Amino acid sequence: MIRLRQIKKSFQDKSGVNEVLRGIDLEVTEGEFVSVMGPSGAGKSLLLSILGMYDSTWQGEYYFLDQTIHRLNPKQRAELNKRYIGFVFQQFHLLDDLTVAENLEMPLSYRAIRKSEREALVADMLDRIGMVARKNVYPSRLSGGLQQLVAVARAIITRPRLLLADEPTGNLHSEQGRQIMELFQKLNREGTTIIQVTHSEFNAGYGNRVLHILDGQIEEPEKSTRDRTTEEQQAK
Amino acid sequence: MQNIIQDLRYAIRILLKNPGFTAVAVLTLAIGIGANTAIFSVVHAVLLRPLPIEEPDRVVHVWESWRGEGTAPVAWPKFVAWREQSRSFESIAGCNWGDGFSLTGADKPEIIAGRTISPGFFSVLKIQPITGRTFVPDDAKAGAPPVTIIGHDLWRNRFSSDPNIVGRIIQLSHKTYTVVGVLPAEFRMANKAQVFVPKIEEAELLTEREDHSDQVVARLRPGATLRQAEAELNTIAARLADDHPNTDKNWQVKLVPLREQTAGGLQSTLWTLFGAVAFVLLIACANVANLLLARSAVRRKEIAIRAALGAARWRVIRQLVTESLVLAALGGALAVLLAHGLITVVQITRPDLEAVNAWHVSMLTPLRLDYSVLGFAMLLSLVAGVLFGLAPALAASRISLEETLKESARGTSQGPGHSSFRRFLIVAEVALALMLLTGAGLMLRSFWKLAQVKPGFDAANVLTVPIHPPQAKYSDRNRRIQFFNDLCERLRKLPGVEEVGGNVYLPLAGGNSQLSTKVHGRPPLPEGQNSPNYRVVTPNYFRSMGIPLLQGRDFTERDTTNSTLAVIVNEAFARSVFPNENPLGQRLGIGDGWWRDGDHLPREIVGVVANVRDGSLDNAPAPELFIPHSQSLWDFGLNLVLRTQVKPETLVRPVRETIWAMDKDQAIGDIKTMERVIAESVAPQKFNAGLLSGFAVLALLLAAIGIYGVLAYSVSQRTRELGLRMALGAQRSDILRLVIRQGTALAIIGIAFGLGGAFALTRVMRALLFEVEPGDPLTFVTVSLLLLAAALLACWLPARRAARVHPMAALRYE
Repeated sequence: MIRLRQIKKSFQDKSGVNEVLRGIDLEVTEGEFVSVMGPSGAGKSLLLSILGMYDSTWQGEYYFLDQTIHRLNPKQRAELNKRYIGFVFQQFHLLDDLTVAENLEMPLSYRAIRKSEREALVADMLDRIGMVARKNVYPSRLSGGLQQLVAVARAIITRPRLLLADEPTGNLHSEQGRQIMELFQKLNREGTTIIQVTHSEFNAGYGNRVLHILDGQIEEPEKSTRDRTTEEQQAK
Repeated sequence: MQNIIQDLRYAIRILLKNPGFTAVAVLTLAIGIGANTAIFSVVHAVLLRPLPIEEPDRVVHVWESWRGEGTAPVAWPKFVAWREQSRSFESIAGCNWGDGFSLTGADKPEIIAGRTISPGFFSVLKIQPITGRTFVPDDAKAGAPPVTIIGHDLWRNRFSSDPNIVGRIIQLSHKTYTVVGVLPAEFRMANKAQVFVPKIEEAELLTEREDHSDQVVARLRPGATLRQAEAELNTIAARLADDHPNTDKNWQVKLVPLREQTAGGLQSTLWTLFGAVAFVLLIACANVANLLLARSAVRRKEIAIRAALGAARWRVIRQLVTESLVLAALGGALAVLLAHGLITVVQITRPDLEAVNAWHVSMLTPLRLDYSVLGFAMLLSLVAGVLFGLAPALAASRISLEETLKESARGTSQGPGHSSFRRFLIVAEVALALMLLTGAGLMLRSFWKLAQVKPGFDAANVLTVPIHPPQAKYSDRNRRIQFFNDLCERLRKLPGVEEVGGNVYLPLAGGNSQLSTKVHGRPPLPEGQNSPNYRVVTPNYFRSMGIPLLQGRDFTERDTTNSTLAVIVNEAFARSVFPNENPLGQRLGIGDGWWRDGDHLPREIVGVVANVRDGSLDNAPAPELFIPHSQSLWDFGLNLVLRTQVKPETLVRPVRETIWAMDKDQAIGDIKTMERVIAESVAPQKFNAGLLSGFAVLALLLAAIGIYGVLAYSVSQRTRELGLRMALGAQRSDILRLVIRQGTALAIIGIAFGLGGAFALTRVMRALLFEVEPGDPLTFVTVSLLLLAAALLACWLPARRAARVHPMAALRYE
């Protein structure tokens, strides 16, 4: 689904050129649930931003599905993002002035979807996340966990094939974090490819592959703890 | 006190730290306050400032009034009756409409404005000469030695402030006068009169009961009211009507306070302009309030910290209002400079505003930045400072520390109250701007229509030369006529001159006389036809002016006092008086001095000419009679008109030389092209339309800047939201649409309110409009579209910036 070849990204600052990504090679097949870990400033979020096609100023090759992303212009990339990608932010980024239902409807409104169909999709999603009763509530009235739940719902309402999540549980307490991770797992089982950035070993364990980024480069890929445990048990 | 100084010091520091914000706010306020101050200086000069005479409220104009409708000049015998019989006045005096005296004796003859007055004139105005005396009744008696009182400027400039001027002999229009007094420097009449001579009450003058051609001013006795005086004069008028039913019947008396007379028809113009400029200030205040609101959002943290450290709410408000007042004071100071410039522009473009109703007994109304005007500017700055500063200060002081701290984690944002107030300000700005634009649009349409009016003559390549041969030198009528005939002949020979003629009153230059007229052998003409305009013209006048002769012939040199008395009528007269007859050959009895056996000597209509807009371009042509100069009994000067084959201005010098070659002492008036005469006749309308348009453009700009400011601020506040929308799939076009929709929605609401307001307010402009209805749909639609276009443009810039938001950067992604 995703193939990156020598992706490089650098910033110019007072101290000179600062290379944040220094030749990233990565392949992700459809249906994977990949967790990206690494220290702050290692370039995890930047990598996610490039994968999400929000950033277009990098060097290297990026192949997504059958598209050669590095040859597309920003508008064509935005079009692909709209069709295939959903994004979950650490800070939820719900719009305070819109109700839960309106927040869910917003991404649909930017796609050629009829109003009646949009309403049906929103109703379905509200039902799925168990928030029908709170559909007219403003986000500020919800707990952090519920806000992130709505944010995830908003990211997946367009049925993306790739879900990118940047520390989706960073602002949640552990129980809320666990609920979100289980939801991700469920989505992954249903076929959505997920790439999440996380600092939590435990949350990384929900995925089936963990990547470590250090100094702008990917360390040797390793199997996730949970997969390793499963393999060890099978070997016994 | 210490606190106030501290507030002030902090306010100045804060403003200096934000030079961009300070400059924009001060400039916006300066424009609003400066324009208001300039217009106030006109309103103050013309309508409010006390006239420079003692107890001006007791001075009234006395007019005759035909059946109580309107006002008409006074017939001298009536004035004499009022003077002798009335008890309501301390003093009463008559005067004419102004003279041009030719002052000779120096190198070049000079025309000096003057007035012929009755001896009580200066008693009415309570003016004492600085040297010598005023007139006494004996000065006005027939055969009295000619005396004159001169103005201060003339005394200073022409006679070098000669301390022995009293008793000195001077030549005025070739007549010898003895100077008996000099007026004080402060006494400056609107017609700039510098020479005053007594009106001689000859026996003939006292019988001319139908000659309504003079003005009367009077000073009420202490305690007497205008109404009492008017009632008394009307009682006298009724008595006179009984004694002289043929001439005095139906004539009543009307009194108008001097101040009201001076302001004349300018009141509605000035109040309209003042209202318009007040709108500009309101819009400016709304803009600055918006700027302050935006800034107060940025300063939430500072205010929260102040509150946390124990500042009471009113203390925070005081600090913020102090900043507003400092801004307003800076704006006010700059505004005074701006007003000074604007006043100079007004003085150049509308000299008549300093000499309002100059033909009446009115004083000069100099436009200047005096204490009252400066006081007004200060007061306005203070009011503006509180007006635009208080609401943002109140809003800013209402913050809660807890919320602000919470918000700071996610960046600053404003509460719903803030943004709705800002939206209200924008709607109000747009509504005010639309009302102003509509007013200006109507004035421009009106002026455009006026400019399209065909005056009835061809003004291109025409030079006008006013000549008043002095009566003393040309007392013999034939000599005067010969002078003009010879002069026309000489001028005609000048290279580049095609034709020369002359008329007593130039079209559109002001001045008129009407004479009672009847068709010989028929019953009297109905009102509206029986006193047509009366013009004395030379042969070839019509050809010189390009006025088509429709029937019959022009006057020729053969029209003399020995030939048949002739008259040419205009089309309006012919149509109204002879609707189904040929006017040629009809005979008219005109009260022009040719009498026999107590009746008018008939004049035969020899020609019909096309109509000319004579009084003003916005008045339909009136019925008019033209009498040949050679058959006129009265001593008239003439305005010569030269049709030229070259640029008329190039002939000014040869014309002057030709005249002085004939008579070196002949004074020449202001030589102008006919095009300039037309331009001067519509100068007030042009000025009004220009000024109002200027204000409207300012309003439009300020409103557009306001919309831009609010949207730009809104975009900066919504960066996170806009970035998020883009991250969730919104295209640039979606964001552009979103922001533009937000701005145009405000503009459309403002336009809707503005249209309602304009519809109500433009009604008061009816008197200022020509052939345009106050509710003119074309104007309303055009200005609405114009404002909408400006609003769209104002939205476009922030919208474009919004569409460039980088989603991840906006979400502060790592």
